[in-house]
Amino acid sequence: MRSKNDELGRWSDPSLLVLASLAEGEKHGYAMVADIEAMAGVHLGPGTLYGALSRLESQGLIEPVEADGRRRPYRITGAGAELLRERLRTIAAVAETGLTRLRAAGASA
Amino acid sequence: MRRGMSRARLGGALVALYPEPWRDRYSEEMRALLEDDPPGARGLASLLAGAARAHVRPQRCWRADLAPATAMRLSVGALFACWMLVSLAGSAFAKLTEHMDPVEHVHPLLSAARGMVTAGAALGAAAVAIGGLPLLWQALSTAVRRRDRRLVGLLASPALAGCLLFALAAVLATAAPSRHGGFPAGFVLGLLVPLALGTCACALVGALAPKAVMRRAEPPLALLRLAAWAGQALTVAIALVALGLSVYVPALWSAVGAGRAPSGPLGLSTGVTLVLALGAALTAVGPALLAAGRARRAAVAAG
Repeated sequence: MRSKNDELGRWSDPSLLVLASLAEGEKHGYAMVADIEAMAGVHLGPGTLYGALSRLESQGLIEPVEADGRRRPYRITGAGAELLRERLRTIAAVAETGLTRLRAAGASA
Repeated sequence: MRRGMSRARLGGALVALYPEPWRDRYSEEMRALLEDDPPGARGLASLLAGAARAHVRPQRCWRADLAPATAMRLSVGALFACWMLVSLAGSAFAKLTEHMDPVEHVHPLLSAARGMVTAGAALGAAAVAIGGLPLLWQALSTAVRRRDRRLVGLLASPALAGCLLFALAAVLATAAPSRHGGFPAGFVLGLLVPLALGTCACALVGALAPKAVMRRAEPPLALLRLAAWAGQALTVAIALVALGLSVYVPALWSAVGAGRAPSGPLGLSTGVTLVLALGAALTAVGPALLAAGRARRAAVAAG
């Protein structure tokens, strides 16, 4: 059975990157692409970005805000923030464990 | 700068490949993004993949709140596109197997499978006539009443595409090198490949034109409901043709492989084309079932 944490898929999943970008505040499409590139070194294609946006919106994890001309900003919802927090804790725990093990392996080598 | 603009324009053109409700919801902001960040080759590929994904896995946020009339119109258009794909496969099958009577006598399944394809074709033609002709009449009368040149163009586009295909076939037939009893590379590349591509393009126009016509002509609910119910029969017809081809192609292989039939009519190009026809027919079944389900639910919701 898929846990709620699995809804974001893999760590590099565009949905996770979009949520992490929107955690800072509301952004429109291009602002998200630029922020994600600066944050994770990943350039999301337009089809990938809007695929993730429509999935997240359908799951109630983000919501659109009033359009700024043709550019419509999005913001993270409470459920989205909670899910992102949960997922990032898992990633941080895995990263911490991995780094500890690498340090231990380096010391014994 | 100019290259960026042309890539943005190309990307904007690819947005047309997304489903209509998706475009209603996202196309403006997507076009703004394409102007801000003109896509490269990977970006264009991402647009194509995104459009395919949107057709296969529609999301609730842009699909759920469709009015029954819009949902019926989209589903009927999708069903007709599936039928065009199956018609293309069925036409290729009929042309390739027109001289296979001697083969069909040696394997009991072959004639049964041909019967299924024929029954599917007849049922499909009847369903298209019952559901499609009233819509065509409504679109024609709307075009005349509104003096809508664009609607006239859309209505004429399948016939124009057919004429272009006919002209292409005539030019290629006079210019192509002779077969001399076989299929030399020049004949295949000079005649068969362009003709196959032209036929596919013509079928694509024929498949997409009804969707565009219905969007512009805005047919009344009663006609859409009739087409939605005729679409249920069309789905059965699509399944019958696909099932018939699924039985026919392996049975033909088995008959030829067991030496019970002369292998003469089964050359490489015939075999490959039959497998492609089978693949096309099977591909249409899933989307047709989905579209028929949506059309049925929308017809029930419309009362």
